[in-house]
Amino acid sequence: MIDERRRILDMLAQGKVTVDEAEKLLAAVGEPADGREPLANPMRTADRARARYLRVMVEPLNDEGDHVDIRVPLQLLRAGVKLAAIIPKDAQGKVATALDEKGISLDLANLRPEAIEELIEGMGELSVNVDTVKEKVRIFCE
Amino acid sequence: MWPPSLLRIHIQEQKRRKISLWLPVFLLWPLAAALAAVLAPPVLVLALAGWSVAKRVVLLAPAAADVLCSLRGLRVHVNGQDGDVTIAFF
Repeated sequence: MIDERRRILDMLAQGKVTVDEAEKLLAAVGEPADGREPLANPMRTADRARARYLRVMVEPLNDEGDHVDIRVPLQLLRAGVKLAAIIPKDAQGKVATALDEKGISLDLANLRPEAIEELIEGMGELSVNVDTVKEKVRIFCE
Repeated sequence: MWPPSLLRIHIQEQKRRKISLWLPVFLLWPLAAALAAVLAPPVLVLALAGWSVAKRVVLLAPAAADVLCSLRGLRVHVNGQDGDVTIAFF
């Protein structure tokens, strides 16, 4: 929504749309014409505000698999990204190579703390449920 | 945010004795703080003098402390056929 609002304002500044047209476009994307922030769904806002942990749960459907229950504080993700941003570049390269060997393509140099903050904000509503023949996987924030 | 006070480690293998530890990690923090207070001035002086290792320590130490303080609430529990393992920070 922020990107759409910025795009509309850029179009207005470039003269591609009139003030009336910009006002209609802003109203269409949910932004009040007087510039105030639209009222967010209080329940969704509350969910995002309450989310402090990322839970990963794996429940086997038979006796052969392992029960896995992992709870990671979201604050740990923030702190980890900040730490990763300070790691020297040669060490970042080695870490990236090691992750790549495991099939994880992650460029630590481009991992910005601002980006992880947006990700964590959006994760408040995250809910992933995977049901397979052998197990159930649930990933959510609480 | 405060660092974790307790670390619980629980390991139980099938048909074997179990290991259940509650480690008072809060005892380490005053020692760590005292060590940091003693080492901080010379490290800062060396960093200002241009020593690259000291510069890295000055940059990494606050971030590492932030990671340490964020461990509170981390819990990993795996229960399988081979046994049960729980690691949790309180």
